[in-house]
Amino acid sequence: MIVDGARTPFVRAGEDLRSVPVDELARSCTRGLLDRVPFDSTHVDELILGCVAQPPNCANPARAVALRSGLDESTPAHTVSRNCASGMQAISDAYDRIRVGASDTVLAGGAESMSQIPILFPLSFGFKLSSLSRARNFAEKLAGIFHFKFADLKPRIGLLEGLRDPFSGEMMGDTAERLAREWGISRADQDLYALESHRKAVAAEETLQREIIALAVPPRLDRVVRHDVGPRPGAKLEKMARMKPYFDRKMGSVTIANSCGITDGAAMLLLMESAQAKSLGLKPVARILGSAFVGCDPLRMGLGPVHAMAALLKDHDLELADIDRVELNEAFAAQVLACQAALASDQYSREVGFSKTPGAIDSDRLNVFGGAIALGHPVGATGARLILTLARQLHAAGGGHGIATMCIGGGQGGAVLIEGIPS
Amino acid sequence: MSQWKLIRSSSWNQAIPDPDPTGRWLHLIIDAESSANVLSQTVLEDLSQRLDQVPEFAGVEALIISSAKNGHFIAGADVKAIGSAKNVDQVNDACRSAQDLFGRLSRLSIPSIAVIHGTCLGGGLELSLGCTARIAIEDPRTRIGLPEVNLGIIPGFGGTVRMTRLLGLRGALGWILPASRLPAKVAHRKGVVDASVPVEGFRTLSLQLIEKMVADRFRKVKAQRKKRRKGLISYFLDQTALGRSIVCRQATKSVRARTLGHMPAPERAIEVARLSAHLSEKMALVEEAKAVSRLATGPVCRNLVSIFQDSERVRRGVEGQPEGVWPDAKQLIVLGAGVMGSGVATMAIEKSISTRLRDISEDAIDQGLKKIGDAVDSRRKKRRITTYQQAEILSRLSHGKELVGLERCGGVLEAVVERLDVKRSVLAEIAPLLAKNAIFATNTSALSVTAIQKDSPVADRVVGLHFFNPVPKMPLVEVIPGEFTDPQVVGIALSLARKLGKYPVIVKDSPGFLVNRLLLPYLDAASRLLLKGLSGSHIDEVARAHGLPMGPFRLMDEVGLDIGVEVQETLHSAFGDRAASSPILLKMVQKGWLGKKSGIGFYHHRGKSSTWNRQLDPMVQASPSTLPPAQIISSLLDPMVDEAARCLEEKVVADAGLLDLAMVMGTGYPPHLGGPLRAADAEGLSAIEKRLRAAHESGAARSPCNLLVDLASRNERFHTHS
Repeated sequence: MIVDGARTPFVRAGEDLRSVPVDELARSCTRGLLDRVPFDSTHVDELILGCVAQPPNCANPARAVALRSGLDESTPAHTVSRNCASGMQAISDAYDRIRVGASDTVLAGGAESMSQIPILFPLSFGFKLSSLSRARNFAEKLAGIFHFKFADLKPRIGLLEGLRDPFSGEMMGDTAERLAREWGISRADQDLYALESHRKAVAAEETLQREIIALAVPPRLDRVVRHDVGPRPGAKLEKMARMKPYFDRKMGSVTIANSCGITDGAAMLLLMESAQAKSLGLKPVARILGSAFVGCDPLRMGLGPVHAMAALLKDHDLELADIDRVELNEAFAAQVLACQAALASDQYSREVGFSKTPGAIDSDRLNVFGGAIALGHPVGATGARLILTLARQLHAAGGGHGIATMCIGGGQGGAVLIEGIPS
Repeated sequence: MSQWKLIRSSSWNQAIPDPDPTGRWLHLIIDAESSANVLSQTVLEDLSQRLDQVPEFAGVEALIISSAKNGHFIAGADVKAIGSAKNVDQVNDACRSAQDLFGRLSRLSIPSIAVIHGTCLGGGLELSLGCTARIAIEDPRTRIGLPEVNLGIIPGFGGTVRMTRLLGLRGALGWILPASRLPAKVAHRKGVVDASVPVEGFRTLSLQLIEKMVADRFRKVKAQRKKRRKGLISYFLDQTALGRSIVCRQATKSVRARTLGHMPAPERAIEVARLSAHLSEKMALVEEAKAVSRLATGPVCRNLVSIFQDSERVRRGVEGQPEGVWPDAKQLIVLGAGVMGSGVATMAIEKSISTRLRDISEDAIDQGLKKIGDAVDSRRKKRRITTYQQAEILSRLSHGKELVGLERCGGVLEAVVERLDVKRSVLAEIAPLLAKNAIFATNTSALSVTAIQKDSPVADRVVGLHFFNPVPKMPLVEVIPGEFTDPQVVGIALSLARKLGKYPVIVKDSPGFLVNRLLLPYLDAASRLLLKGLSGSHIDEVARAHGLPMGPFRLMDEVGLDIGVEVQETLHSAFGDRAASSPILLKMVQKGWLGKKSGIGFYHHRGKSSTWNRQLDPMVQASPSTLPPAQIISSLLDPMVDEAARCLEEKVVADAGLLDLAMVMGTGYPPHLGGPLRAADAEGLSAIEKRLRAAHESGAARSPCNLLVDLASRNERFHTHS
């Protein structure tokens, strides 16, 4: 059972939330969530946090979140990572823990501060530093100092390294370019899709705002961040069309405007065993039915959702047509459109395991409140945000089935099936 | 029962070690009969007898002094005895014999080492200073210091002299003048203790250290002490007459700036410390005892001790007060993020209470959060807390417009606009949601608690909790039970106030409660003097010189004239003519002169500077005149004394001691005068009564109240036993 959830505002990296560490992002919305749900937080059995770039000074951010949001010292907490789907993984794990009876109440979600991913020195710098520290006399020290080269100081941007496929060395955007080429997705279609994402998010602002817990920026609390900054009410197609492709400057079609934003944010959900929720008198918004994670070609990681949905639907004997709402993460407009094309392709859908061609998802069922192109994609948090948004919209719609699904860097797809509970 | 135990032992693994007739160590353990280890006459006499027995133990290597009470070493000398000291010679003798007793600790045939675990204040530290060496345990409960000057005396059991001989003049004054209580590590860094030891297994660790110290005959300890005082500047300032006179002049200057010469103790401390730097120990100790005996029998010390005793009474709980416990694990919900709301929230999160700040306006929340963030950050900047502690403190705070968490909170503190209809509607909104045992505390300065709670379904859980501005600095909280308040709720409110580090005083639900009601006649008298043609800034200066933290006009500017008028009107309608509003205040408010917040009031405020508002002069019809300072003070304070007597008559507060304490803690009334009633007692009530009567006959609305007339006619005092 998903009792309730909450998230921080999603803010472009380097802006208002840049000084907020990842554990504080998650703590702030956890505390807001605990304040909001009328139950005693001593009932929480554990906390699971999805996070990709776990900060060097806080090896298990989940534990910091648990302690700082006022949970009992005895409440265990761990951090999980499945790259872009870390938040989804945390919720899937929480669901499993509840299903096997290990826990009754779990706080699960994800958080990412993309602003605070460190800049790294090359390892050669570290090696030379450690040999210098072992120098015994002046001559050795001098020699050690002269060993340093300028190349040793060349920084590596952690953020960019993280967005690179570790097997092929390609950037995530390059994999999207490949899908655009293979599935014949034009630049104009991508821009149009991106514009639609902004339009939907702007239209749904009021609904989205109800997910958000305002965050006061520590340590001086002099700024309170209350709103997402991603959605642009004034987004124009002509303006988008003028942007240069970012990844493939000459031939490409993927631009900053039709990709997801690099963002800071966190989202947390309160999951409970149904009898527990009942005995505490709580009114859950949705029920999790299952999850699936499937591997695929790392160079075509964008198609992961098609693989994952196929597996998930098969497990539950459902057709894609039975699903009322789909939240498919918008890593790139090209990637979403490629998924749509793959779902409509007889050959590809058969290959991934659909028994009959499901066809593309209608736009009134897909990402109805916009997606990561408008809101941004704090990698660890997005999976949890998708499920949060999906659960609340199904709840408001009076029930129905929904899937939250996303592509995962390194060639995987993840999907979670939930059922809304009418109020 | 003996207060000290003397045990020979070979080990140390529990508070009272197992005796072993062949052991190497002799343990001298204090375990006074009272709940705290206080150096009363009997405890000192018993110590003397124990020390007589020490030579009987042949073959022991060191005397280890510790306490059997967990986390509590020695709280200091007997405060009651200090407060009731009358005879100069008696005090002198007592000090001389204690000085000698502690001196014997270093003249034994074996070295003595104090192992300090827990409170070690005043006499406790002086005893330790008599030892050969000191070890402090790094427990948060360990607090080491010489707080004597706060009580109007100086360390008199040899502390001033021995501290100076240990640390030099500057070091000693750095301990004695600020009267701070420092943790073990800081005490070690500053050289008062020779080592600090982690608390886990501290007995074994201390014993290892002592073994090493004894083995090298304290050479390392002595070298360490010497090293601390090395250097040319150190030599000049501590070892030469010229250097010492510079140090003393500077110290005296900064003390005077703070006390305006009202506190004799710090100045005596500087003199005695200076003498101890060049006289022999014996002669210096004589001077120390002389200084203490004069100070302890003086009025300032008596007043400070009385205030201290009353404050301890309030902190521990006055007998007969309702009991109750604030639930630690529960949340406090603060409604209203204004100055008071955010101030209380700051105190709460600093004192480990999980707090939610709620306001109906996002702007107000932003402002409130900023105030809290700045307040906590300034503590980090002053290094009172680490960045980790700062993050932990801030993590206890949540905020938002939503009214959530009421069904499981420990209590609600309401600090919304001071209007009866608003407060009642807030209560009505909350009443159906409020958890069963939660209290509803309303922070009001003038509204009747009974009027707020009347007809509410949760009336029994409503209680007034009047904080003073600025909340983090003012230690007083008036706790006001309304007509329908459950006594247990009052108990919980008291417990909450104490948890917030405040001194709660129960006050009857009557107009102006206590502190504002007493302040008003004083402020009113000031504006009447102004209308008679006296200079306002001169009145402020005279009041400052008398020891008040702020003159009346500055105080009004600080509080806000509009608030002043509001309170005045409340009191006027309740008490009639004697509380009639002064016309000048109303005129100023009409002009929009509200004090500091509007930039202009009695003063022009520009940044940090302020100058008297000359535009006021045309409002005063009378020609300029002057009065001697003593007369100004009496015209300001006499009405306050009369109003205080009325409060006692009407039982607004339980006794005169609490009234005096409330004025000291809530308004900064000079503590060395002991509060308005003690000051009146000292001056003689009949003089005050006569002046008030004369003023009444020449047209003032106020005539002295029955209690004052009665006491004056019988030549009695407000404070019966002092």
